[in-house]
Amino acid sequence: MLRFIGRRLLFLLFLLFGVALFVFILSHLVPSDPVAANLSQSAMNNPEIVAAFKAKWGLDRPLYSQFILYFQHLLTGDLGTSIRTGNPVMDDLRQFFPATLELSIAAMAIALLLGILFGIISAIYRNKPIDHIIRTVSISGVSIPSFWFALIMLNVFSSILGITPGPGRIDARASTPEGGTGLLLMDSLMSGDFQLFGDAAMHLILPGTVLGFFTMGLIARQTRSNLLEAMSMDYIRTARSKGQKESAVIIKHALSNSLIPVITVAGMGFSNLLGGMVLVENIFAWPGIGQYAYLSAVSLDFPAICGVSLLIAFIYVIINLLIDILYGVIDPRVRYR
Amino acid sequence: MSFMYKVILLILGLLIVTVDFRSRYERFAGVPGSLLGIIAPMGLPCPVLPQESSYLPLQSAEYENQQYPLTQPNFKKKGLGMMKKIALLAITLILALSLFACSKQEKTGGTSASNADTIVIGVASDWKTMDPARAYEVYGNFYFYATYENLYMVQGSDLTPKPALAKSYTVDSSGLVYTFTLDGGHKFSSGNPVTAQDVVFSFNRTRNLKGNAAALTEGVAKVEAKDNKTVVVTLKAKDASFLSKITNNAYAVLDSKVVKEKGGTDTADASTSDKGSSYLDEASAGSGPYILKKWTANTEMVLAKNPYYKGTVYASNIIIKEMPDPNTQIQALEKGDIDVALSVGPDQVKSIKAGGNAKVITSPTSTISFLLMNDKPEIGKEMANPLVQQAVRYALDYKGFQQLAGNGALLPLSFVQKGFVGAKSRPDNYQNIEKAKDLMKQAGYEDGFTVPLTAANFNSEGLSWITIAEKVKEDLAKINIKVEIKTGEIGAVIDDYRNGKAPFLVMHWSPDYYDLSNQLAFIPGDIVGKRANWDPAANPELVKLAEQAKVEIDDTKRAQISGKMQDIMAENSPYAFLVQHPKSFAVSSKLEGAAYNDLCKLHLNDLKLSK
Repeated sequence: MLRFIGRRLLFLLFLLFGVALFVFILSHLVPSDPVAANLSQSAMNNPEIVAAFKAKWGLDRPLYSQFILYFQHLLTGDLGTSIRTGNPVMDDLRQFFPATLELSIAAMAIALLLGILFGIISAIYRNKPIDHIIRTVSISGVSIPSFWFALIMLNVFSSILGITPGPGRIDARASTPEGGTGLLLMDSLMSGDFQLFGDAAMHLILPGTVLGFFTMGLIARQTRSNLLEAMSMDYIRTARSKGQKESAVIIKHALSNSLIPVITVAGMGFSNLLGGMVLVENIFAWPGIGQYAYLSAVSLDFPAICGVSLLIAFIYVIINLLIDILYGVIDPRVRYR
Repeated sequence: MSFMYKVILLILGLLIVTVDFRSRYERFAGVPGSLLGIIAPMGLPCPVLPQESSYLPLQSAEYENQQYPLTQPNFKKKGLGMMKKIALLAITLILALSLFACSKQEKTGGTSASNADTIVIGVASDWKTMDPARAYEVYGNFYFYATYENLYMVQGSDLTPKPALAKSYTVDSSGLVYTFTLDGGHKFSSGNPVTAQDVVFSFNRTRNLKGNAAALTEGVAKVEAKDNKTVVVTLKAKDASFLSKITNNAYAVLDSKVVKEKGGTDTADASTSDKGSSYLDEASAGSGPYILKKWTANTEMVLAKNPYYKGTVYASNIIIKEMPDPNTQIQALEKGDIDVALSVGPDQVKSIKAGGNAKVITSPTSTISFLLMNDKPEIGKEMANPLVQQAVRYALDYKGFQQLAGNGALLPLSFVQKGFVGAKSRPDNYQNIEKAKDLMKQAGYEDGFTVPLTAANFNSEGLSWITIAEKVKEDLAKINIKVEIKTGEIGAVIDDYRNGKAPFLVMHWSPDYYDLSNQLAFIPGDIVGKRANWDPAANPELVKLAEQAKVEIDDTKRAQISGKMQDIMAENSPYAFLVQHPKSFAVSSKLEGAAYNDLCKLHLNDLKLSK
């Protein structure tokens, strides 16, 4: 197992180098000029200002030397300075990542909880109305575009019904507390500020549901079909014939054997989460990596674009690694492969 | 990432054209909240226990079509069944949810009295820096007007410079030397008095930092402090727009003591040695009505009253929330979460009903949309023909463009916006298809031709350029010009535009500073003129008039020159000016004092919440 993890970590290093190179080249292939994207019309006409800008951001060097320089800095953990915000990219990521992390965890929790629950209900009441309803919801979860769903959810639950709060991480009139981990739920609990905790938790419900909806649909469908398949197995009949409670049969025997593919699906769902993040964060005014990535892309802020891509690639690989490890935990057979 | 970038822009474009869902969901307004609230969050109705069914082991062939007998009668008998547990969990969740909702309402109700002191603004800003010597972003002066003062500033929705830190100025006979006399009594938020030395430091710092803002200080030869209250600015050449430029953030006056302490410098090597910018991103060092308490880029900004500010300030605190999606801003406004939804387009504003919690404010801007017809025959082909250019101007339906741009749209005669010196309007019924056809015949294109029209995936004050291009296509079809619309990202299109490679394109122009001089970019051989490949030789008279307009200080004479140039360019130029865009935004019906100003958007110290 350790060797397996070690190999994967080594692979991670290569992957990150590849991503850095790939993103670096791709983002420099965009047919427009960071000078034009960041300087005003009149400033563009002043060669002195243009030269100062290029020198400051190293844009006056040839591309290969820009990359070598970037990579040297990368090895020391320096992701460069964002052209748009003027801050070190590392600082920016550190600032915006907690919001995204909190949202992804909430989304994943909602997706897993509801997805498995719906899957079980659906399997138990197969072909009953409730199963049809759940299946419709799951399919729409996979097919509805997240930004559209986000707008509708915001309209219905926040504007019309007023059940959930509006966009943002906390109440618009409140101010985000300084310091801490940046994970508002954790920070507020640690400081004993339960009002802030409630506020932050309420603000997580809508975007978390929207973001987790896709994964929820996948998980529900997967759980349902796996459970149904498992239920037709002989060992279930054996369990039943031993006189075990039906709920125990389902949860202990059938469900635990159906969860491995669900974990894969959940992993897939997580990667989708990162993609949906950009739009959902924009709509919910969520100050996270998604918004940061979008704004950086629009202003051709190369260091920031590379930084975000590296971070996402890193998370991606780590998640996959965790899934593989989880496999081994749930199903001992995997360990020996 | 370039692909991602395209996808994101495409999706955002889709988002913009998506209909407002509000109207579609109005039918839910009558439904009791609890009902929808219980059903919807769970995504299912409360489960009902199924009837008993016989238990039979299944064969795999039957598996798909048979009712699977998972639920046993003993489910009901043995205490709480699984479904009941789920139902219970659901009810608990809903109860918890509604409890939160109730407590939330009480909270906002209870604090509404103190809320009058805090104004919350929703905005999709483009802020990169809070250093006035570097910034040039569209929403730059929105912040700088709240925290800094200049020698001269704009007021209300008017764009003419009015005395602020300076009480008056004189110009010597050469027109090059401006002497400003400071109005004593202004103090920085640190308590330090504003002196002439601060002005000199600030102007020199902007010039030497060589950032975007430096472009506005190019014409300054030197700045000196004669005494504590007198500043002398010497220009390199006569510049009638100098006072207008002074109202911009490039000329904001900083507390030199504080900025120097924090590593700021105004020396010639400031572009590499200055360390003051990062401090200014965290705290303001000005004499404006507010001070910066906190700025988290892309998230929020918190401003508090500056105790040393001389003028009137109503709200003690201003919170500015980043809300990139305009629909989100409107929703937050209608819910009462924010008091101003500043960056919204005509479509979102339309959805606001009269008499509700929100009202719409509409005001003209200085942004003009125009068509550029390349004057170089190799590139522009048929479009380079002056007769065709004139025919295009006659063929356009100006009323239609005004309707597209929304309430309050204006139609300038040519390159000078309403609000600028000597501005003239074109009659909105200028369209004359017969005349246009006649001109096409004279040009030898009676049967028409096909031309590509470039329109970036971009918008002016919420009006998509692609929509503009479609309207142009429709209008020009009437005179047999077949338009083929080509779209692309702004980043790619703008390169073609800047290099003068596009034969025919939709563009807009919004000024860097609010003076006629800024518009002279359109004359032959100047910035936009070059992009249209319009050579100075094509119209030497215009070039001469432009030189006069740059230096003429007398407003009446300047207006005459301005008018003359507009008349010439209205009939003879490679442009067709389509519309001067209005700006519409929405504010809480309780908010007073919100007047839109194209330079600083809103004067935050004028805002007042009633009740």
